[in-house]
Amino acid sequence: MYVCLSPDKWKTKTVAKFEPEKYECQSAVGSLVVIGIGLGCLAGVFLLIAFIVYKGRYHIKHRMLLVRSLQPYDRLPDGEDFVYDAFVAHHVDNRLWVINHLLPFLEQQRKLRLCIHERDFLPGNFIADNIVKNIKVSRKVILLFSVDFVNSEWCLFEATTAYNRIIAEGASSVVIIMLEDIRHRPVDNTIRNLLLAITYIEWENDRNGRPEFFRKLLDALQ
Amino acid sequence: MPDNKITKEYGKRCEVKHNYDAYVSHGSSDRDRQFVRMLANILEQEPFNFHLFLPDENLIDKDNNSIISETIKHKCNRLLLVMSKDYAVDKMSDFTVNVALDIPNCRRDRKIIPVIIDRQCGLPVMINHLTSADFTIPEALTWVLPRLCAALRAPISKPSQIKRRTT
Repeated sequence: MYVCLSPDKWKTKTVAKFEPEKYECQSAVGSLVVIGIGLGCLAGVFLLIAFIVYKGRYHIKHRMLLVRSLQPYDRLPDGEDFVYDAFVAHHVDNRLWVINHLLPFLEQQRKLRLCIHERDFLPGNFIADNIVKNIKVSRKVILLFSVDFVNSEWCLFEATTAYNRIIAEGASSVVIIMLEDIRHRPVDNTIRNLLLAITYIEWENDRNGRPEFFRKLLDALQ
Repeated sequence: MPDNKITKEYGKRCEVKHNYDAYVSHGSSDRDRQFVRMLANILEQEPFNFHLFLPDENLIDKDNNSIISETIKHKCNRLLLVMSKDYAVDKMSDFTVNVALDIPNCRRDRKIIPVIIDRQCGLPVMINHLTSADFTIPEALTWVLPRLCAALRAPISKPSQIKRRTT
């Protein structure tokens, strides 16, 4: 007859009477394996989710922004102080048209402030500096297309600077007035691109078309 | 306090004590002199009160190029170049422009102010990229004088304020 020595519970009792509890028979390793597999699966799932989120983080941000952007933005007031309402780029030979037609309507009637190189360019400065600086501080740029304009180098420079304005700020910052029809003449690429990018306003020589012309001009300058 | 008396030069050294607002470089024809006289009358009176250096009146030795250079460089703030068809072929116009040309600082200081009194007379090549005060455009005559005065009045930076690049 055999007597147990340990554990203390079963001391001095016979082996025949040994009745282990159920949990004592299960091997510890098995339960550990089960728990381990469970935890491992959980971790795997987490890792998968983390990987997906990492790979698609920009898409997720984009979706969130789109949801937020359903509200319209308020347009902020302009940070730059504009000195002039419009810069008038014209050839010297067209100055009479500017002085007799544009100035009375825009400056005297509508109280806008125009930049005209005969009046507002400081002598002694570089011409290029004057052009670039004044276009920068003008709200809009008016290009007066004529045969003289497209043949003059400084006028082309003004057109190129205006074109850069379009790239930076959009096509609404430049207005083209067609004084003479130059569409069917060979012109510089910049002029051609400008004509394609912006709708121009044609100047009518007869007086009946004038109110319409001025109305269109004013709309474009808003 | 600059006074309005005509200051003459004696000998080789310049005895002029005040700084002039501009050296007026112009041709020797009567028409040019008349124009310069008229312009000086306007600019030296109220309300402008500019102090102009007129070679006809202020220079005794007109052939002494070194005195002219010294005056333009050190005694006058700017060069007022009155360009006409006659002066365009005169070597003096090129000379005064070359003396006054200060390439490192010309962009900031506006040292040369071209004034045009003849249509289609070109500016010297060295300054044909500068905006000029054009007296030949009748529609712009009311504007040209204020522009000229604004250009003459602008401050010049002193040489000590100019940073020199050291390599």
